[in-house]
Amino acid sequence: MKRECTIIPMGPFHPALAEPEFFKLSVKGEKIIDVEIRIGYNHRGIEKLAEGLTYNQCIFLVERVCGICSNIHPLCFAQAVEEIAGVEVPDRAKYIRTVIAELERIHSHFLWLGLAGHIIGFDTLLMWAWKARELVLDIFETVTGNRQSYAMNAIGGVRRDLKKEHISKILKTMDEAERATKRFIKAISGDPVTLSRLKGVGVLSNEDAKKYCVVGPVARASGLKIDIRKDYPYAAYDEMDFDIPVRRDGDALAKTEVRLEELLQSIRIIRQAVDALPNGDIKCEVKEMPEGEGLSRGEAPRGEDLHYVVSNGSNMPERVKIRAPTFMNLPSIKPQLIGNTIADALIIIGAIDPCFCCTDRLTVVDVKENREKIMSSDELLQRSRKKSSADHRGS
Amino acid sequence: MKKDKKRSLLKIDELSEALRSAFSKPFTVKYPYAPSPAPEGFRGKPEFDEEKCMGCGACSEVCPGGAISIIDEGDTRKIELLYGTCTFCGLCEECCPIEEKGIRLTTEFKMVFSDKDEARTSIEKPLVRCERCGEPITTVDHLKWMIDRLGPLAFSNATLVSVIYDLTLGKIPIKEPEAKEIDRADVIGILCPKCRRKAAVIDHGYRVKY
Repeated sequence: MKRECTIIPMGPFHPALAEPEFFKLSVKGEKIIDVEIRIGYNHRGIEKLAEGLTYNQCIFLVERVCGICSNIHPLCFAQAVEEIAGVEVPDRAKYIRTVIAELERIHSHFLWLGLAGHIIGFDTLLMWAWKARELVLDIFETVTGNRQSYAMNAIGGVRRDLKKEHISKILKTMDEAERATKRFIKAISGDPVTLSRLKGVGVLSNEDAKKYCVVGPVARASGLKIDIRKDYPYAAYDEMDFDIPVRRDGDALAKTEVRLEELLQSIRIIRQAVDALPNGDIKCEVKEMPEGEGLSRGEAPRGEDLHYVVSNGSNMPERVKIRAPTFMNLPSIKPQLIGNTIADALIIIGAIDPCFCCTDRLTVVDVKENREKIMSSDELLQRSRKKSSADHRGS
Repeated sequence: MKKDKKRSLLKIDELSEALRSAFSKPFTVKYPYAPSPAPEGFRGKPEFDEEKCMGCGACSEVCPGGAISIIDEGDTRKIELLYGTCTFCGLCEECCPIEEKGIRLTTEFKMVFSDKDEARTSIEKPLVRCERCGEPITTVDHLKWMIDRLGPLAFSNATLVSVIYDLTLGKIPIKEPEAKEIDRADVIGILCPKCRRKAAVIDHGYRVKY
């Protein structure tokens, strides 16, 4: 019988540190039999705040929805506002937006890869992946002026131009990123311990994926071929030639493989976009804001991102609605976790690449002995790593 | 057997990486001890330019985080920027009406303060107030900039004419506010829009009640 209980998490509540998140796992011995997910500890009221800022200021507010996807949110917001204003963004701006969006995907996937390696105790992968990611962040620092929160988008275009020296730097880094990605593919597919930790863990079946409406790499790992870049092209994606990697297994390994292949596709897109970069303006002027509503979607590194803006004709939006990809992916953790062990819980939660990557704390409710134990993420990490070393000895 | 061979090959790859890493210099920089300059175009600590800034306050209007505030006290206008609230977006620099930019984002990223009151920068400019009610109008530099841009058209505005008159005499157009009733003579004077409206509707000794 399931024991009903309420646990109020007390602890370091700081949006800048490990992001607050709450998963209540009901376990029988080591096996997880039920999961309760609670979100909302990091609510900052961004949608309401946006109603008191002008459109130009809102760009910088929505940029801070997420620290890692800090390009896709302003990009989607700008697209929604441009739809209301009825302006056509110059071609060069569209291409620059594409380059920045793909660079962001590369840095985000490298970050995730490093974290996944760290969770399962493959710290070498963390060092490698973050070293490769650092080069991408160097591009951001040079081109946009910051490693994160690039402030590259504006209503009607982009704020900074890609210069010749930037392009040569980007192409050079892409060569290195490609080399690094190929090495990661080799390192993961050749390492029996990593394979045993990822294979068959946290399976999300095709039916479940459809039922939970998952998006992004999680959906693509479960055999759903969906990608906003292909289905509803924005920026300059309709002129780019790229594939959508799809896997059918739906386990953590499939999610890893999808992301690794996406890295290669992103590098391909950046090379094409930089080669075909058209000349011209980077920004067009928005003369007036009519009344109306705009909806825009974009493919964030984690999946579909949706922005909905209502204008009342003034210089401030009347309503802004943001739906980040993790909001769709998080409920799907439930079918993935049930039936797995506690040691695998962290990699399963990590595999959907939640935007609040760090699991704040977990409460383990042991049904058999009817007692509760709150585990910190450190303890879980220890458990997860212990399993890796056990696998290593066993293999 | 085949699996073992594949694994041993992999270890060679990892070993070579380990050897290369052992004999090459570290990828990281010993930052506080070694310099680590930010690239050109980095959006760092914003700084006011004492000479170029005219104190119009456009930056405080556009700042998304509300980090820039205008404090009018006595004869000075203080524009203050709080580094704790600043998001380094660069809108202030973008929207500064002066071509040479009165506020600029430097490439400085070191912002370590032992006291939170130190985490701010400010600029002070002489402020012109209304001769009658004492409401702040704008800074002297801003009026000069307006006169410069308007050219001969500046003579169509009585406040600007009064400012030009004072400036040509070498005086700073700052007068002690005198709280008395507005009369016809106040039409030529430095007045705020509200007082100017009052002064303009006074007609030949016939006083309108407001």
